[in-house]
Amino acid sequence: MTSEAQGSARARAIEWHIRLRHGDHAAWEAFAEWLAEDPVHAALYDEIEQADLALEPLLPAVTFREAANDTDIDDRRQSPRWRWWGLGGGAAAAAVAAMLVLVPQATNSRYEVATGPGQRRTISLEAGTQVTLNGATRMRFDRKDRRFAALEAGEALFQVQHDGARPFTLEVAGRRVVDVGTVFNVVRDARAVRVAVAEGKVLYESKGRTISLDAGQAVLDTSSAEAPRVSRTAIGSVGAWRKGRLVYSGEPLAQVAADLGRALGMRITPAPDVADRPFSGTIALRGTGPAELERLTPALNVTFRPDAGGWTMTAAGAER
Amino acid sequence: MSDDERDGQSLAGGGLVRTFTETRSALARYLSLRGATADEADDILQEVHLKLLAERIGPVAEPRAYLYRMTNNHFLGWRRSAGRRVRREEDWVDAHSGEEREIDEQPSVEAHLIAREQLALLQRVLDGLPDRTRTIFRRFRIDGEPQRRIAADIGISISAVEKHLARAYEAIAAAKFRLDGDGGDPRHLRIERGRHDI
Repeated sequence: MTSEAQGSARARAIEWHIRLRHGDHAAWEAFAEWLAEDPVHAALYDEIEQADLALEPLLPAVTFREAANDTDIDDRRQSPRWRWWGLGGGAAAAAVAAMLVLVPQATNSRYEVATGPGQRRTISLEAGTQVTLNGATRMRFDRKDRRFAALEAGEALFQVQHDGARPFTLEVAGRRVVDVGTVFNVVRDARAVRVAVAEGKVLYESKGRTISLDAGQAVLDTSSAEAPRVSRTAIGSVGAWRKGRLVYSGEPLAQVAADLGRALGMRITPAPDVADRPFSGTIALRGTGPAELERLTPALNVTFRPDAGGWTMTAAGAER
Repeated sequence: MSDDERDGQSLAGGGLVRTFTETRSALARYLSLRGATADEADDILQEVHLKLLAERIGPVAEPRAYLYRMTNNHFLGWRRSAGRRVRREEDWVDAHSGEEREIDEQPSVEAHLIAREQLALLQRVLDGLPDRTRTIFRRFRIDGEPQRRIAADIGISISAVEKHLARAYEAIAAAKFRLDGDGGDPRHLRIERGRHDI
């Protein structure tokens, strides 16, 4: 087969691939005849079919620029306004598998979405706006107001389409996070609220003041009267938990323990001797349960021991 | 295999199983043209048959096309899991030979970088398409709209829609994406007998 002939056969393979998506039986039969004409046809078809399959995990994460859509932002930033960091496919699949608890509230249009320990779930609120719930997370949404969300407990990653007329508002522990078109991650646990911004900008309202957070900034807001603390954060690490990655640069082990617990569906209590110890590095989760904790002990330089409600994290070798 | 009235009859519920029986040899031929061995084709069709029996699939408008699509999906599933099995075995051999593998984060960091790279590549490909081509591709590929409807909606011919889609797919094919994690040779479908654990 000449390269010219092969080129046109490749074009034919693409046509078949397009046609068969909604093709009738005559199309399938004609396609079979085309395959039978030359063994090269099957190989060329494989190529386009595999190329299309390879898109599957990527498509949820890309931005389809539409003409006349938020041009002000597009002009300001050359890159698309938001984009998932990393691969969406694994998490999306996990989200499909995750069991969802829906608590209908008949009295108003609010409803609750919760994930169990170790589960994940992606909620699409409207075009371009998605919320991904990490494990052991509870959130409230409003059927009538898709620009509202409340984080009751746990952690979630927000990917918000900018709309100047209708800012997206998140309520968390009496604080408010108002987006200005962005990707941001929020954690609410017993100790604090943490917000990290990957793209765009949010306004964080707490304790009577408003703080503007840009991409690459994070805020730690403890339950004490202390003012919220703003720090730098690695943009690539925001929401990395969606891909089973936990990224740290000097965060206390207490936070690592809470994150691990959420991801693995276990209760992990840090002993006082390690709770404040800073940890830097990336944890890539591969498994679950005690075996996964065991695997992580060298990297964290700790020991995990079973206790009444779960596991205690202590300094390595402390048990002997 | 020329009669359309058979399709019409099988609109009545369980007709799909009967249509399957009638179409089976054509489906087997299709699988062999796609590169499956006779044994593999047999197993794949057995799987499809069982699925049809187990799931009460409602009446479908185009039963034979439906069965082709279903067979094709099962074929892809088999090919994919065959690739995965090979990889698993390679990993196992890797892990049980030579020096102990250290517990490090390299593989996943690498996988992450590849994913990032792939995503950036796809974004570039899509951004590089003309606006209308991109919109048509999104409606077809993401929203699953038939070409007919897209054509009517935009007010262009079906063949024009097809040309836009072909242009998008050509750009995608040229970019050479790697299938996430499943890698391997897509032509590789050599499933050992007796190991059908799907």
